[in-house]
Amino acid sequence: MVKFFLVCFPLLFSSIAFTQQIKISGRVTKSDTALAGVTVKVKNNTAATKTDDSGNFSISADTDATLVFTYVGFTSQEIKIANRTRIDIGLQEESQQLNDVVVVGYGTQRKGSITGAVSSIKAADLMRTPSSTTSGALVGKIQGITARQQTGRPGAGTTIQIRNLGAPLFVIDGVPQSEGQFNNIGMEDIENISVLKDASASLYGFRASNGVVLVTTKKGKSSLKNSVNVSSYYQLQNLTRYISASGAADYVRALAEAEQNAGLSPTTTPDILEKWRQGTEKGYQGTNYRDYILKKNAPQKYLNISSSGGNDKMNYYLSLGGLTQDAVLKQYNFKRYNFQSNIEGTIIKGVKLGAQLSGRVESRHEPASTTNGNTYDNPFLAILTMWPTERLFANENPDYINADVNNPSRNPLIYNENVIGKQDNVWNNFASIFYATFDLPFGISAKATYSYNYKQNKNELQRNSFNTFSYKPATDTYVGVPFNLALRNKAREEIQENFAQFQLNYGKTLGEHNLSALAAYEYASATDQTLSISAIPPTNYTPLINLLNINGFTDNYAITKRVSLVGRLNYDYKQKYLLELLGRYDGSHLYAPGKRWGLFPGISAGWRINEENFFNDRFRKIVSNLKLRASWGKTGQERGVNAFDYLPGGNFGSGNYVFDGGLATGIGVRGLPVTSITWVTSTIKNIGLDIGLFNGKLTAEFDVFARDLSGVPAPRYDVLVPSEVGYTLPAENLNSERTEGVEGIITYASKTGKIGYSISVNGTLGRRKIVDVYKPRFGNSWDEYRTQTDHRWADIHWGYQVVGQFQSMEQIKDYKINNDGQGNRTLLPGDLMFKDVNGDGVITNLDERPIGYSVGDGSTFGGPTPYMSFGMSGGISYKGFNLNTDWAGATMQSYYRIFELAIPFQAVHNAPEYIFNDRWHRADLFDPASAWIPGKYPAIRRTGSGSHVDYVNHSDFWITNINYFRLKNLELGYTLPKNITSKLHLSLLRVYVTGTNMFSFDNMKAIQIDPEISQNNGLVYPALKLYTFGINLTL
Amino acid sequence: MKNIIKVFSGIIIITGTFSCKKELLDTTSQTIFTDEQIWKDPKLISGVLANLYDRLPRYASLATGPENFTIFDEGMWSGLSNNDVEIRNNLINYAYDRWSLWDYRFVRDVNVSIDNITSSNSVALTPMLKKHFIAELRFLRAMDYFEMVKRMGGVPIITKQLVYDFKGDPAYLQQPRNKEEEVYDFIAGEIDAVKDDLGNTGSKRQANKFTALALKSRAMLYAGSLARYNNAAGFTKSATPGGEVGIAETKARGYYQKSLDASKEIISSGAFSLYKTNPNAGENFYDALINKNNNSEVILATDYLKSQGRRHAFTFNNIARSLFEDGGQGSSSTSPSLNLVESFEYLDGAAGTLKGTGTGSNTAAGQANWIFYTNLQDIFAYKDPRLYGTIMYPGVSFGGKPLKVQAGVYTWNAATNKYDRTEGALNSNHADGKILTGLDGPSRTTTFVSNTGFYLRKYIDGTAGASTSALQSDTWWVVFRLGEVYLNAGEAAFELGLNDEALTYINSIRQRAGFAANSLSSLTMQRIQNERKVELAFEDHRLWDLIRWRIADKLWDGTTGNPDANVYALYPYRIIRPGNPNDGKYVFDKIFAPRFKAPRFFRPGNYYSAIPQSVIDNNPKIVRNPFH
Repeated sequence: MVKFFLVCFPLLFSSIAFTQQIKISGRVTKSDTALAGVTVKVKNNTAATKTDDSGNFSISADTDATLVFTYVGFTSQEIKIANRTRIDIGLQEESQQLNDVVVVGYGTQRKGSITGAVSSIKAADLMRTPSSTTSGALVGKIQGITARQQTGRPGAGTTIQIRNLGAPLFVIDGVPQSEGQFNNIGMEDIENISVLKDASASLYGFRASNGVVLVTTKKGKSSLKNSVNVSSYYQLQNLTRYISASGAADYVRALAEAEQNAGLSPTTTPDILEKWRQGTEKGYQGTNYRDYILKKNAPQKYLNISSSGGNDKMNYYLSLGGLTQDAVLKQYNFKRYNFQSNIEGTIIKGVKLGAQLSGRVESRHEPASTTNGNTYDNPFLAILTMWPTERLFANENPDYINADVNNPSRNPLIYNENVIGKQDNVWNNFASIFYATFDLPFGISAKATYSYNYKQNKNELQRNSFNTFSYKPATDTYVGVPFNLALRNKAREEIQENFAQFQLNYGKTLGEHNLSALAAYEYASATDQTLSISAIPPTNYTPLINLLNINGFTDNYAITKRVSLVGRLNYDYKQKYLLELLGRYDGSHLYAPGKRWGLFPGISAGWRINEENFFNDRFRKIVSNLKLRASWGKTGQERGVNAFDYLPGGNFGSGNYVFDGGLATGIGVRGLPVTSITWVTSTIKNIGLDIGLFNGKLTAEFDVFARDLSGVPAPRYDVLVPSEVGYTLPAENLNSERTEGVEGIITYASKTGKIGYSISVNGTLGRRKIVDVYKPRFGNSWDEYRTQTDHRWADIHWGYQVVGQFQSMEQIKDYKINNDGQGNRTLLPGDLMFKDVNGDGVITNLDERPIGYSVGDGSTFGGPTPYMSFGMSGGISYKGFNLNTDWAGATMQSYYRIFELAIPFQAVHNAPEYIFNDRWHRADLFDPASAWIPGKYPAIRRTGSGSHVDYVNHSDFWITNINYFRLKNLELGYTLPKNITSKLHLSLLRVYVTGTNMFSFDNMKAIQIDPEISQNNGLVYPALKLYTFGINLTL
Repeated sequence: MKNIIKVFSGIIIITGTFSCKKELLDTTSQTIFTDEQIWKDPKLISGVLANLYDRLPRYASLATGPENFTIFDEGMWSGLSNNDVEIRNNLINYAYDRWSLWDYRFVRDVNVSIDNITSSNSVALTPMLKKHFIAELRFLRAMDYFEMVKRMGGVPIITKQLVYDFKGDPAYLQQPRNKEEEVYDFIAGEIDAVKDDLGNTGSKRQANKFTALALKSRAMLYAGSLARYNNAAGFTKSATPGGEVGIAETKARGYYQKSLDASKEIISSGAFSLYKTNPNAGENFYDALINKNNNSEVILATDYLKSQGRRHAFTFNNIARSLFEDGGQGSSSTSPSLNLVESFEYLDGAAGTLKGTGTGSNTAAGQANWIFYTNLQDIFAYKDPRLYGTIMYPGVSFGGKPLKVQAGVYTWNAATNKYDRTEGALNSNHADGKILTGLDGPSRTTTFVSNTGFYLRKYIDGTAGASTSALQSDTWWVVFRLGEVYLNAGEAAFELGLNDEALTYINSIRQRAGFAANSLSSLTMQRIQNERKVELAFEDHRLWDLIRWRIADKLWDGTTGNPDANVYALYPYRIIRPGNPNDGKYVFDKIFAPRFKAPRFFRPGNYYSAIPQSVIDNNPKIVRNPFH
């Protein structure tokens, strides 16, 4: 017995001693990714530690103790040590959505603790739309973004706005950048995009009043595995829609009809009409320019190779990509090459250095333009301006461009780089960000960032002189008609941007109280220099410019500077009550000294209701998340002022004039210095609700917002300074306006067996309203009705209301209302009857009423975005297959038709088929007494048609209030099973096919205009219908 | 940890250097000169003058407002057709503000410049230079006031900077309109005060003494005719009780005398002579405006210089289609009217109506009057050579290249005993292999080709490349020339009853044009008016002359039948009648220009332009013009 004790007791004892001093190490991961900062605690003990960057920890504990792993957003796990010395565990996230880390201003936050209106989108969702620009890929995917693809021209972006507030600020990896930089970043290099829509933008101060788009590029992971990704696609592009011009037979008939309608007898004969209709006899063959000009299945090709990886000390992401896009017009193309290199390393414990270098070459190649305008416009214009009765080639001889056409400079054969020459526009951009981070004592960390961007634009125009030819059958010769268009232009723009930032972060947890703070200082400056030289060369052969031939030279310089102080404070109690305070003190060079600085504070708060005790477990099973958010914040807007407006003196190079000694450089005496104006203040209020149901399967977010701009510059016109003083008083910060709206997104994602599926719908409604106008003043009540802008929605489109079309000459004769302002002498059956709203018997502008929403201003870009946008996306997956679809739509926007889209023979051109066919006309072209046959469009006129009341009077006959819902993408993908890929020594291989813009439900089909275009003559490159074949593989 | 601190403090220092710079947000513009730099440097002050010369108001000229040549009776629009510009041929009337001008920014900039130069104490700015600069600035200001008074009537005369004190009540800056005559007197007074201080002797691009006198000659003539014709019998006076518009008839003689004196001072100075270099009178008249080398006639011109980037597109926009070097469209925007062509007399003094034109009605009666001309240009034989110098008409050449004008053919139809008309597309041949319609039209519907059968020659540049969009042209725009001074002198003398003196001036002009010496033995106001119409066509005189003579509302009365109010065209056709002596000859139809839609309509309220409402709002002391 004693023996037993002697033998056993020490054993027992030693075993006790052993259990007290075991050292356990291990690694905490989330699906193989290291988790840093996980708290590892011994249960019922004070011993605790945190995992390092690689997820490793070590702790001493009793052999039979239990370790508790806790990490914000993850389900806590308790593991019994059970004599083990190594414990590797994987933590499960509480709920997927709530733990997505979202990039917010100057850092990241867990989705669950965000209090502002922030939407984000991940790379995978972005890449689903094979768009050549980033903005195009965002459309329809998140709530709050309104968009209009004004043009599908290669390399052109989509106009996006956040909540219809205006152009947002773009920030890439923490540095404010231009929209062009955003659109042309390598899309594969984007990790995610966040959109700050409310007070959360206050952190970006002055330029953030229209919201902020934050882009984060990919970084290497500190996991051990290095990987190489290759992705590539090949795409076929076709226009979604374009106007069909009338053919020769319709055109000739319309000409005759115009003569008949003008009271003349047609100069043509039924035989001739018949010959045109048959179109076979020489001299009566029509031309379809559209078929010649528009190319089918224009290719776009994309290839990107990237590699990422890392270890404890270093991580890297390297990427190289290229995209070439041909236009649907011959010889027009766009090419872009990007590289991105993100490297980060720990040089000493607690100090990390990183560099993010990126560069791109972006080039646009086009045949030159006969005018100095837009090269893309001419071929599109040609479709409707060339007469279908004319031929492309003189005497059908393909060596000779026909000169004997009404509009020789629009003969599409000219728009060939071998004829007219070419234009190349190249951007060479280099962007760099260098940073260092420091872990300092007391929970403080610091980051210093410096960024330098260099952007160079080269524009090279080589336009040639050439001949077109007039065929003389008598002598069988071709007589040259010269186009002396030779011109060279070399333009260079050089933009250099400096940005420096110093940032301090502090985080502290005291029991259930969590506190974090941020302070930052920023300095940004940029210079923009442009130089342009043009020359008239004696020959076509060289693009080089000789001093002798120079005929134009410009040189310009601009500079900007901004300085800011930024601060943020976050506090939460038990992750239940969340509070965020934001502030920014901003200075801009734009304003007069004394008016430069502004403070832009913001506050937001959140309440996670589901964390409350009254939420019992049963309830929690259904409602996994319920959060109420509210925010209020101020940002600024630099508006109504140009650089140096505060300076008197004179403008260099203004109004040059020839004196006896040659050209004298003009100096324009500057107007009254503007010293009173300062930034416009924007105040944005937002209330939001986040809901998660059924363990996060169904999630929803809803936001109501209002953005008030105050201090919008306007003249203080009741101080009536006589015009004779020779200056006008500068605008002051007087007016205010408001944009208000709602937005929301609902997502359902689940899995049944092997089938996973998700569906998400989102929508945004936002519209601008003028709230206060400085002392509005009206001459009479009509004037007030017509011109008042305050307390009304902005951008109301006014015009006449059409109540019908005249049915007969008798009706016109007996018509009591003076419909055309000329006693109705210009009217024919089919002409528009305008509503005489005020009943005075004559149609004047007093009869105008609101007929639509804002319309395009005729410019190619920058038109309005729709007041209401919506989107839908859905996906279903089974084994390796996945099927995804994205839809986007919009309503509350208008399109007003002008020029060729409305007026027959506009500028002596052709007209769309529907205008010449579906028109009022007489039954017999050669009998003026024959009956009128109704049609949709007014009777055709030729001379002076442009000044006819049908077209001059802005009316709702020509406006379309557009509604559309379009299938943006339909993607079918297949990921090969692991057993096959591993045989190929690959870790992933996926192939997919995507159809983009395949069809849409909309009300613009009848006029053959893509619903997203805003340019009112329709003569632009519309959106594209794309078929994409792609592959992704990972080594 | 030590290391961290080390690196960290390094960064702090680097960042500190960014933030500790003084005046962090101050930037310097490279495109703005400060007041301190400008007003002590004569070269920079010249730059200010260049800017002001460039900004002088112009209504219709080569670079500014060339479309205004197409809205009266000298021509019509034949360029682009769309609803914005087609309206030029379909003007229901002239809006009251069509040529309104309230250009006080110019006045202010002149006043600012004068004040700054006066107070400048730079040594570089010698008293002599200061005097020259200030005189030139005052001349420019007088030009601006003349441009305003001829459109608006009396305007407030501001000669000092008006500085608002930002105290909320700018009423102290309000100044009423001066009387119309006060503005004319002011212009005369300024010219008298500065003419001898102006430098720039011999310059045709900057103001000198004679430029100032030319302005006085014109301005005083305007004032004289306003006094005379506004009060003439049968004319509804345009006047306001305060004299803002309307000048007493008794003042007329005084103004005419001042104008005549100024004209005589220029003529008798010997500094200028009527341009007579080219023995071909028509070419000579064209050269008189376009020749920039030692041009003895031009007093002041707005010049262009292609080689240094100052150019205009007047030739590009207006040259005849077949001469267009740019190949495409864009040419031929101005079609001179048949009305103007017929205003040029025959050399024997007969009225200029063309002989043997048809009516274009395509009937035997409409063809009865035809004269069958062997050559296209024969119908213009024995016309005032200035017609050739001003207008390209069918059958002429330009720079050695013949125009291709032919509207169509008339084919003899024995069955109906008349000719049948055929017109085709531009540059098309008839079945007989010869021309059907020429590349130069005229065409009834095609744009960028003459609608009237005529093209401009005056100011059209024959230099290679002038009608290309890249090169363009640098012909100068003549503001004052001796020819006008002769006409001013003749008119003033005539109005003063000095008939013989008047005849001398008018006959000199006619003799230079190619008429025989003393071609006129008596004068009427109508003759003088016609003389100005043809001599100064397309030089921006027509509208202002008709206004001051108070006959614009009579000529352009908006009635369809009135030949003065409508634009007519002359369409040439080739005759096809094999075997007949007339085969291959040309006939002409005089028709209503096809693209022309609404008769010109000048209303009494157009004599003085509408003052912008904002101007009246800003200064309640400004009274409106009559009829507004």
